[in-house]
This record gives sequence, structure tokens and C-alpha cells, in this order.
Amino acid sequence: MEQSQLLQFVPFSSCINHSFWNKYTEIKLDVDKLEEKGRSIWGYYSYIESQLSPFIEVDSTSFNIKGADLKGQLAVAGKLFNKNTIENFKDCDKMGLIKASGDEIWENIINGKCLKSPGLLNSFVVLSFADLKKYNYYYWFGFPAPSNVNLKLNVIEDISGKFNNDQMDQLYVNYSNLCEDQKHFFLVHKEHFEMKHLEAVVDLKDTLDQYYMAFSDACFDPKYSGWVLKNFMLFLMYYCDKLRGKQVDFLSFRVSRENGKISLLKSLLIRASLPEEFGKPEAWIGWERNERGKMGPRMVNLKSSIDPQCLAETAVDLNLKLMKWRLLPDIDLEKIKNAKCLLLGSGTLGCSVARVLLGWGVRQIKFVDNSTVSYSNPVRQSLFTYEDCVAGKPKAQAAADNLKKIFPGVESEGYNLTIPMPGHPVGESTLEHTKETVDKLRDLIVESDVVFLLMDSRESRWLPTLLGLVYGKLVLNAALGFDTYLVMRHGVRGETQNCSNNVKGFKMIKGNNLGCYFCNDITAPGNSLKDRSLDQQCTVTRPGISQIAGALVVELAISILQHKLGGFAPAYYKMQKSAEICEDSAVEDCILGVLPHSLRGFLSTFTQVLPATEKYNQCIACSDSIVEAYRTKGFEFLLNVFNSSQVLEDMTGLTEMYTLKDNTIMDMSDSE
Amino acid sequence: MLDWEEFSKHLSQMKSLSDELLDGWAILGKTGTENGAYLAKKVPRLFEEALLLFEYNVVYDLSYGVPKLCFNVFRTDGSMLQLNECIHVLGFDGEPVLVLTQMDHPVLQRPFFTLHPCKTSEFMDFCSNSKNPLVSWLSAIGPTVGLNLANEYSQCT
Ligand SMILES: [Zn+2]
Repeated sequence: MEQSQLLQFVPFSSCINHSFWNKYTEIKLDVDKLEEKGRSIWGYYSYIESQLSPFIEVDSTSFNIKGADLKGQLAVAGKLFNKNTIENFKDCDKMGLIKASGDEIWENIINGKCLKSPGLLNSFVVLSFADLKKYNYYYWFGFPAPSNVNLKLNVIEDISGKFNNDQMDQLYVNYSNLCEDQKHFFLVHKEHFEMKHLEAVVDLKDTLDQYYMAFSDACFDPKYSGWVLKNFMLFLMYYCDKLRGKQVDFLSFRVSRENGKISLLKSLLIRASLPEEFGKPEAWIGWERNERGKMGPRMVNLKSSIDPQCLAETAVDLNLKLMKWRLLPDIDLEKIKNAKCLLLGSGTLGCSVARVLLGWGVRQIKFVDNSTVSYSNPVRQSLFTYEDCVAGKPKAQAAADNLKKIFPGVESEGYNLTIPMPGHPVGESTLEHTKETVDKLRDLIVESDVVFLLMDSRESRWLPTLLGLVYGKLVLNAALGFDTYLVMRHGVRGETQNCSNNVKGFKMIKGNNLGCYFCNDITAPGNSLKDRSLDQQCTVTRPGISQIAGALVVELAISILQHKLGGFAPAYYKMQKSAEICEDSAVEDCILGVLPHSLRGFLSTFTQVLPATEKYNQCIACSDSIVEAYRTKGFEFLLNVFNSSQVLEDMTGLTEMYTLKDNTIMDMSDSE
Repeated sequence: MLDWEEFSKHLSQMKSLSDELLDGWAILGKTGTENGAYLAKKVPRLFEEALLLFEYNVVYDLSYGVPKLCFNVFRTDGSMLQLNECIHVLGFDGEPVLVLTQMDHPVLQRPFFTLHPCKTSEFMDFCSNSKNPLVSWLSAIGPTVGLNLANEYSQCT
């Protein structure tokens, strides 16, 4: 194809491997710090076919002293100018920077270094600035080439028009025997295809017309040459003055795989005329256009892949996603992640619960407690350390702080509050404070989705049980005895079109008919000095109990969150000893299985039972009369209760029933 | 099962063939030490008009005693594709991704998307007749994550 126009060159684009930024960040922080003087780096381009426009790649090995030795890749020496401020980055003289880089190429031509190392004819500059607080990386690549050197194009064609297959095979054999560090630019004899290193131009000065001027090309467009030919022209003009103004035959080597065979079929013969005028280039061009096609820098944010906190969050989420992909495709992880959890009590149970919640990917956890970390705590309470005791830190705050140390992605807060209790009179002087505390607790409950009752006293559970019910929250409860535990979900209130199925041998209790922690208790809190197996008067427990109960109460909460009926999910209570819930029972379960009402465990026999109890109409915490009293009288009602728990018994009619025997424990013995 | 010695041997063999084919596989890391070296290749690919760089690594998994294929995908600005983006690019949408996970690279100690090695051992037994089970395995599982070995590699199996 005869043409009489100027040869067009396809510029390089930049391609940055992620490992480059990792290394760059490391060097900036540990070595260069505020240094701006420029750092030598390596880039690489490939002469093996791809469907892409030519690019120079940089990666972590770019910072090595010696360039990587990779078959098919040619090294280019470049320079990185990292600025300390965005102003320095913006104000930097870009024309000057690329000219300096071009002048260096020129130096390497006239001082002869390019003769031995032809790769020095190529170069690149990177101007950069990193905002390492935001992980924003600004950068601009330049690939210097003289601005005013043009080639008048006569012919550009596939070499297959010129050579037969045997000749191309011979060319490839000779080419592959050439060292990688000589493949950038070299000479090929036109008759017998002998290849000579570039330095031979000096000796062959008078017979250069017998040679093709050859180069490895990163460009695969059959109509254009790659960028590297520009600087090659400059070199030829300098060393081969006889070629000035003359027609020169170039070979653009492009390696491709054709039907499984390495081939030079895509290589080009370019016949073009060098200009006559020659001198040191005045101006150099080559700054890369950005993604908008403008002459300007690019910016990339790498927070998600460099910021360790983001890496931790991604890893935690991914772990849960694997569970979803492999085992539970229908699990709603977002629902769990977004669940706001309030932990009332930051002791053994609170610590265990928080950790298991973290494991499930919960991100919002609030702690409430009224004591400080004591010396006996850290060995049993998994969020505390010895230092916390020495510092006398409030438990809620210490738990919140330490949870963040375990996983910075969590939003944890601690509140130092003493929850007001029935039968603990409020004096004139503490009235205002008590009111504030009640308001604060109410707000915390209103703001949360799931409330965990994990305190070490029975009385302190009364107020949050009531508030959780009134504000429609999921309330879960864990209580410990010496070697026993109780884990339960409180019943919810309201109506639902829940068409729950009965299962033979089981009694089914809908979620809105389930009882609360106090439903099984015949007496009001406040005078609980008598022994109870599951009461909180007993703070001596087998150390494993809190871990077991803490884990169970979270797993129960997660199951509720995954049940389509949520807190309305029914519980099944075994009526016949032989009855079993099996796969095909029409049980209203969730993807994680059945939802019991409560779990009672006995470490002395290593057994666990799953009793379910209906709400008790005279319950001192969840019965309608109590809820109604709070709704109408609010704090005034609460205050009466705080001052005398007898109020509760009177209101619910418990006083008259006081003589009745405690028959609720039957549930438990029955089901064994 | 494949012990480290065998793994390295097959690795070198594959690398030599790659050099002949100019296929771009390189051995990186420390070759002398156990579980110190791995095979790596970068594959540029256009996706929705953007250049993406697939970086494939064949590493050795000590606990399973099998090879493991890891990869990461980058844009030209160095940013890394997240797992969901990778899944989209690889055309997994809608299908459960049973074996793709993210694990720390045993040599680089950075997270890589990884085809989980739990089933690899069975597969390796299956291709025990191959002279290079590493290549047989890689040519079988590679395509699931966009890595297609050239037919010429079959000459060493
Ligand atoms: Zn109740």
C-alpha cells in the first residue's frame, strides 16, 4: 500500500499493578518520607500480542535495583517524582519534567550508553502525590518523545507480503536468540536475516542500507507504529548521518501465537523517510491523557485494598458470605449486620455475647453497666485485661473500647448506668438522677433492635423487660446459676396472621403468647433473698457457663432475625416423651432451624431442655395491667414500683395468689 | 497428594514450556525453600471497554498438599476488583460460587481470590496418570476463572 503521509504512532498508556502502590506506600512511609528528589523505577512492555493498546506496566518489582527478567517483556528505566503536597503536585513544571527526562535520553544517545543498552532510548516519568489519610493516589505518566521529529511514510505492510513462511521462521529463530536486553532496537540483515546488536551501527555506517532497522513493538495495530520508534529515529539521525533525508526500512517485531505456533505474522515492514534537518530536540511530549481524554492527572482511591481496617471488614464479611454461598443461600446477612444490639450488663455474659455478635458480623453494639473492671474480671470476662483493672475503667466503656481493638469496624459505645430496680426506693435527692437514667435507658432501648438482658441481678431486669415489650423490641435473656443456665426470648405483643402448624406430640405457642423472664416467677422482684436455682444472687458460677449461655443467647437471637415471623415465631413444647421434631414435621422453623422459647442447661449432667411457657396473665413485668399502667402514668408509675415492689403484686393480683405453689417448674421436669 | 518436591518439579517443567511458548509464566519467590516459590502470570483482558489485568498465581497448599490457584484482578490504576465485581467479570452471576473464596497467599501473605483446595486432592488422584498432574489440574480448573491454558501444554501431560 503506497502512502505519502506521516507515520502515526500509538502512545503508551500506563498500567499500574496493585503491588506497585503497596510498595510505593511502604517506601514513602519508611524510606523517602519527605524526600522529593526522584526515584529510579522500572516499567515493562510486552511485544507479545494482546488485543489491547500498548501499555507500560509497573509493579512492586519496579522499585528493585535490577529490572525483572521476564520472557516477552522488555524493561524501561523510568523515574518517579513523588510530591509531598497536592500543591507541589499541581504546581510542578510538567513541561520541564518531561523535557528533563527527554534530555536524559539525548544524553544517553550522545554519550554512547544507548549503543550498549538500547533500552535507554525508552523512558518514562511518573509524577505522583499520595494522600495517605484518605488513600487517594494522584499520578500522571509521561512517555517522552521528541515533538518535532516526523517520518514520511511510504509503505506500511505485513511482513507476510515480503517474506515466505520459512523466512519468517528463520527471523523468529534469530529473534528469540537475541538477549532480552537487546531486543528493544537492533539490526536485521536484509538477505540472510543475521541480527546485530544496535551498537553495530557505528561499524556498519556505510552499509546500513543492507539492514532493516528493527525494534520490538508493543503496538499491534497494523496501520500504526508503536511510540518507541520516535526515539529510535532520533538515535538513527544522530549515529547514521547518511540516512538523514533517506528512505529507511524498519521492521516492527510483533509476536503472536497463530494456531498454537509462535509467529511473526503480525509484524510490519515500514518504509519511511527520515527528515533532513536534525538537531537536539527543543521540546519533548508524551504526557498521558487521563480517563476523560484530557491532558491531566488521574486519581485512584485504594482505601478498600490498602487500608487495614477496610481489609479487616472485607475479610469478616467475606467469611460470612462463604457461609451463605456454601451452606445457607437464603440467609439474610444484611439483616444481621444492621441489627442494633443493646447489651445490658457488661460482665461475663456481656463479653461473651459481644464476641459472638462480632462473629456474626453485627456492627452496632452498645454496652450498659454500672461497675468498674475489677481484678477478678479479666480471667472470666473475655473483653477485659489486667490494665483495665489497674486503670479502674468503667466496664461498659472498657468493653466498648476493647471490642474496637478486636475489630475496628464495629461501632461500639459504653454507658455507665445503674438501672433502677423495684423495691429500691428513690430518695428526694436522687429523684432527678433516676428520671434521667430511666429516660436514657428508654432511649437506648428505643434506638436498638435487639435487647440482651445480661445483668447479674434479677431485679434490674424488670425495667428493661417492660420497656422492651412496650417499644416492641426483641428481648433476650440469659441468666446463670452455679452450674445451670437459662437462655430465653421474651414473648412479643401484637397481632399477626401467623398460621402456625401443630405438630403431633408438641404444644405450639405463638410468639405473641410466649412469656417473659418473670412469667415463671410467682413473687415480685425486690425481696428475692430466698434460694433459687437460676437466680442472680449466686455470682459464683462454673467458668464455662457464661461462655455457653452467651453463645446460645446470640444464636437464638440470630435465629429469630432469620425467621420470617421474627419475634412472632412460635415455639414448640414437647408433650410426649417420644415425640421428635423431624425433617418433615411441619414445624414453623427458619433456615437455621427451630426457635425454642427457652433453653435450660445443667452442667452437672451436661443436659439441656427446651421448655416453652405461655405468658402469665398476672406477670409482674409483662402483663397487660403493668403495660397499661406504664403507658398511662409513665415515670410516676415506675417511681411507685421502685419505692415498693409490693405495688406490682397488688396490681396483678399476685398477692391473693401468693399461697399457690410454684408450679411453673413443672414445665422443665415434664420435658425431660 | 503432591509433595513439595513434585510440585516444584512440575512447576519448573511448566515454566520451561511456557518460555518456549512465550506464554508469560514466571517462577517467583524463593525457589530453594519449601513452599517459597510460585508460578505467576498476568493476563490483560478487555472488559466493558476497560483494561483489566488478571494476575494468576499457582501456589502450593501445605495443609492439603495440593496446588492452589489464586488470582487478583486490577484496573490500570492499580485498584483491585472486589469479589462481587470479579464474580460479575467472570460471568458467575446467578450461579452459586461453590469453590471461590478469598485466602491469604502463602508466600505474599496478602489476600487473593482462591479456588478452595478442598476438592483438589480428589482431582489430583483422578489425573494420576498424567506426567504432569499440575498442568492437567490447571488446564481443567483454570477456565472457571478465565484462565485457559494453550493446547500445547498437553504435550507434557
Ligand atoms: Zn412475663
